[in-house]
Amino acid sequence: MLPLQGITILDFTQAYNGPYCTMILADLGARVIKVERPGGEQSRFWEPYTEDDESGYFALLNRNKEGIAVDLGEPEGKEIIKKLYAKVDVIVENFKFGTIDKLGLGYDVAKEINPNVIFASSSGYGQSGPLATNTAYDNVIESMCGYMDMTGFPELPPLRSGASVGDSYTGITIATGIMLALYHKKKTGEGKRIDVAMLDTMFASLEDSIMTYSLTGKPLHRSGNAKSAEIVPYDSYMCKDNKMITVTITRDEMWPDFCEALDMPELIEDPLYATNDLRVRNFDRFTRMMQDYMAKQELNEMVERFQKHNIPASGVYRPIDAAEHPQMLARDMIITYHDDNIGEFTTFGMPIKFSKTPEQIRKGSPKIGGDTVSVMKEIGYDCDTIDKYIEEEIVEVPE
Amino acid sequence: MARILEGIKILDFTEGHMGSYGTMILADFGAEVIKVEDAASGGDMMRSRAPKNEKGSAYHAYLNRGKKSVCVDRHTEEGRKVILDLIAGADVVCDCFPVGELESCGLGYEDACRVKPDIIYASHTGFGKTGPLSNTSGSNLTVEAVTGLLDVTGHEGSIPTTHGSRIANQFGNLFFVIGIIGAVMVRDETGEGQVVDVASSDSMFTALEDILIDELMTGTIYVREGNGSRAIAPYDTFEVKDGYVSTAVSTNAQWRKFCDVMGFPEYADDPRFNSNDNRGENYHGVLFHIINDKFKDMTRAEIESLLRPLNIPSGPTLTVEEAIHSEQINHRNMVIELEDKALGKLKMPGMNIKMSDEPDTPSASAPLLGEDTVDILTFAGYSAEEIDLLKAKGIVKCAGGEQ
Repeated sequence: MLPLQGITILDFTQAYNGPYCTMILADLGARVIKVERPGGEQSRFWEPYTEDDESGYFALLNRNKEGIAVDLGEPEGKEIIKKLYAKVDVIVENFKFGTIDKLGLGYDVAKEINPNVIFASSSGYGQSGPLATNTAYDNVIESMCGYMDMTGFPELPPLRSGASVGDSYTGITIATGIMLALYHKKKTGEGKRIDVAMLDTMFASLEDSIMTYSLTGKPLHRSGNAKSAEIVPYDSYMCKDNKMITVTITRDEMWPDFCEALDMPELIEDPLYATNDLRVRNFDRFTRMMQDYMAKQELNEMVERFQKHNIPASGVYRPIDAAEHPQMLARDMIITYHDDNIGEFTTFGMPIKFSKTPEQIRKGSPKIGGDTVSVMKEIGYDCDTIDKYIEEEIVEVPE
Repeated sequence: MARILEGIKILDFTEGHMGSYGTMILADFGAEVIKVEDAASGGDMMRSRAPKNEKGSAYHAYLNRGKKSVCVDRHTEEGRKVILDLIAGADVVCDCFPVGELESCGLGYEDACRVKPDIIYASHTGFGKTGPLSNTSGSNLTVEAVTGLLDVTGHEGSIPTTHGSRIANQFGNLFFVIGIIGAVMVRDETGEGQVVDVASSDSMFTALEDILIDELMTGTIYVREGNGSRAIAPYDTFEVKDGYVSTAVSTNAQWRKFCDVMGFPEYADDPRFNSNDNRGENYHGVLFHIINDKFKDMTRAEIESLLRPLNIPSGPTLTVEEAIHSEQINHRNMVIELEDKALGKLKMPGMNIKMSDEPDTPSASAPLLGEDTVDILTFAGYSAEEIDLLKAKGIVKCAGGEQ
């Protein structure tokens, strides 16, 4: 059995963070019923597109999900949702603050219908506090929690993630919360209200920065690719062929091997560099030495030397090249399957490698309202009513 | 109050950041997490990692809150036996070692199954326990480099740039937690344990948003674009009088309000800017300068006071120090204070998964090295004499590392 086999999730989420969350749960075997407005959620209109204008962005984040399209503004639409509330284990939403309550479908309503439901909300600032009602984007959250100020080089402006991790990292955090709540529900039968904020999540991720301030009271500054106050070497350097290498040690015992990989055994006991504390103290000098050294080396040869000594090191891959990295291939991290919207679709695989209950692709992303009819039948609607609702555009089905 | 994972026992070989952040979350939610620290090497390397002072490491104090510590030399036969006795009473064994390390100590999954047939073995490593890099230690920076995340982050014209947190390891840690809870749920249903193998690299690779498939589907080659967005304009970070501000205006309704409040209503219906697509097309070279010229003479607070009431997404780029003292973060209890045994009162990040009827503060502070050795061995059936003998031989260490 898959870990979440038998679990049903009603999913109102759209765009990036919520769908990333429910994709993780769907990959683990949960039945995820995605609720879209007629016409489809916003990310169906985000690039990249196929020749037929189908969105790869949507397909990417909505695999393994069923889809129904319902007009939540209409009483008949709300009725469908309430019937589903009675049947599901989990409800997830990432609407603007207050929206789901205004629709008459908020937590209080859900709990009345289904006292043991798990109800999870994802938002920019959380469901409480002076900023709760504000909408946010990844860049605003990364700004306001200190994340951008800690990203980038000291001589350049603050920088945001190239992959909007404020959204995805919050998404996986909600998925973690839902896993915990599902475990609790299996044990006790009780549901939970879950409230996860991007601001809280990205703030908490700044572990070493917060702990440094906490311990020393000293203001911090971003330090490029190095962790100059914590661990040395941990940095990037330019090689002779104008390619960048990243190299780190993760524990002090690796230092002699690092020196061997450089073919500079005399550094092992060097009074300037022999311990991590010393290298932190002499970071600038160490960095200049490494820059001069790497400027004379070829990237590939250097990576090979480090790997031979089990020192973490790598060149910088583009995403498309990462997709051909032997490690990614060996781990099945690139997969191809049929998607109803896209056709043959190649994307990332599943990251939790279970020996006995592997995550699975059971289907691609749903068409708009692809499962409207079957889901409505399950909750007791007859064909005439379903046809009438389709006619009145309360629900949508594929042409 | 009972926490969600109360009753789950985890024997935790993780150290540093890999896996350890995940077991911290499990401890936050009530699991009994017993760190197995190596007597021979002085315990978790995090104990000596900055930020630290002469009393100990604050980073260690954070990542190990709520855990227990048993200090055993796993490289000795007697140490191995002690650990197998502990495995017999555990639900999950966690580690972060390259493939083969636990096996070489006679503590692999097969060995453990003999004493606990339904044991779950879960690992979090840089690159996973299979494949050509399975015996290579990973680190957050090299994982960012391998997955493409490093390449897509940075200012235009600047070099690939790492994130402000150990983000690849953080993704890996959360998939690790999800995998552990999933495996426990399966075991509760089927009675079978299994192996769960999570890599930071696999985990991070799933979070490149649309960049990977964009390159695969359309051949678009992605370039670092600093603080902009591929989908929305304006969406950027601007230098203002006293720092920086990030702003995003996505809908036409918001754009109109933005133009009005910024004193350039004439741009609201300007054909160059009257849709998100048009704003995107005319952003570099035109629209950026219009906003930049306006913002550069304003303060962070002035901009916030205009845009906040209109609910236009915008906010100042706070330093960590400012964020720690900000109202919203404190209202959400995201800075908590623990009495650490080594360091005394210590502020640290709170729990960001807020759940009804669950505490949102950790259950305890971090353990001293070997603090729980005696209790845990006693619970496992060792007599005081046996424990003394193990101490005398240097197989185990007790509180503070004393023998």
